[in-house]
Amino acid sequence: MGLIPRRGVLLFLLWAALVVAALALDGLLHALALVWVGLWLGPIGTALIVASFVYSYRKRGWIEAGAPRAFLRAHEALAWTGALLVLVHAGVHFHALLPWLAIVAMLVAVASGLVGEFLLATARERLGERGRDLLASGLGEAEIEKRLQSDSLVVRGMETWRRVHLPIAVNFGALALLHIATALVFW
Amino acid sequence: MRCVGRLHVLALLAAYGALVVALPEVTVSPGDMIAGHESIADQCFRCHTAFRGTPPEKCISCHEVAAIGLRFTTDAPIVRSPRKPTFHQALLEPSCTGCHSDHIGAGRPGANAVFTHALLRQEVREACVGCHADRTPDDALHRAAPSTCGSCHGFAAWTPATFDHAALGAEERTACVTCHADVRPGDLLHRQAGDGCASCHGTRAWKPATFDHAKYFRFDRHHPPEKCTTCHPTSLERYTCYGCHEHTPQGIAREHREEGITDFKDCVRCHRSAAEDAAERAGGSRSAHDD
Repeated sequence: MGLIPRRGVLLFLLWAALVVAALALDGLLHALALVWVGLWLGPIGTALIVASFVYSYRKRGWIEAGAPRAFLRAHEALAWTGALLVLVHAGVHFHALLPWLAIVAMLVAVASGLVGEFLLATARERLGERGRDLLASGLGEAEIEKRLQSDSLVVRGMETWRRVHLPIAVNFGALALLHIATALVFW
Repeated sequence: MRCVGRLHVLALLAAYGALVVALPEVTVSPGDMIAGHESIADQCFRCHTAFRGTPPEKCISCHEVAAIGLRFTTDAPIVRSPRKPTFHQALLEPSCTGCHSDHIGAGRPGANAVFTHALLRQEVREACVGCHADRTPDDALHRAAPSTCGSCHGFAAWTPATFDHAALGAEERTACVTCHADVRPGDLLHRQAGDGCASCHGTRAWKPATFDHAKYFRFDRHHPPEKCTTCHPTSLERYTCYGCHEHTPQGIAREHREEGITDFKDCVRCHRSAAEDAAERAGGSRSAHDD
């Protein structure tokens, strides 16, 4: 029981660290008179976020090589770093609504991803416990696997989260795409 | 399911796109327009060309280059300070956004409007007095200096300047006090040294100076450098060793004659310090001065 809240706190800290690190980096660029660098961190951050979607390809089987878990870790790391660079790119400027909507959508998507990480870790833990219980009850491996796959609570939890996370990511993608398009039009 | 996902994306793009088209000044403008351009805040393409930014032709269509700094777009004349000369007509190439930002927010208006001489055509850039006639100091140095300010001054600021005396004529170069009278020290040495500063000082800096008293006579605690008048009672160009009770003319004459030295008028020729045994080393063989 103690492990779950601690993990939740850690994931929240990871999200908060994103904002704090972005503010610190932005401050540093201003202090070093390198504000122009921030402009180019936007495209770089976007490229990292786009690269993070390689996990989706692996998950859907479009890429077959490599451990899915490694792809997931890469997805998390690339998305977090990309989001950090995009936040520095945004800076603390409040005027145009579209880029700010995109930033909010990105932060929501990152938060949603971290919630997914939390749910996944919890699910793994729950499956482990349940597997050990079934093993102790004397069931065979095939039966245990069958029962674990049908653990509706865990499966439903992840599916529900996925149904929410994807539209959130799509919403961010649409806003980011429009921001990029308008930035290019009004270059 | 995939079809629904695509529709979802398209619907979002359409909705946000409509918002951008309907309210560009709220959704994409990086800041309010500067004074004078507020009336065109919602007409983005008055200044912007899609995917090409803000080409100068758009600005020039209202702000005729020949009139910039001289007349408003209403044709009313601009009253200018002579310290703010017009220069837009002398630019290498028109690049309005290189200096100007018309949106407040992404940056203050004019925040990045830093004038740099590099924008000017070479012949204009080198004709400093064309713009800075009122800034030419009326002092001896600037009257004697060549008219090309750039030989001493940089483009970023008037100071620090890198004055090179080689730029002066031969006559001005030796007349140091014409420019440096105010920094001439008031001590006896400098009062009596005359105007030949160059005999000790270089043209790059006053210090280090090359005058070395030890070349003529080495100071010690009985001959300290502060008491110039003990040895130089009338002029620094002249000296005497008979200024104190140690060296009486009679005593000196006796001592030298005892050693057979008869020519001892110019003491420092042999005595470059107060050390008794230094005379031989400095003056060479005594026999040259002996009878």
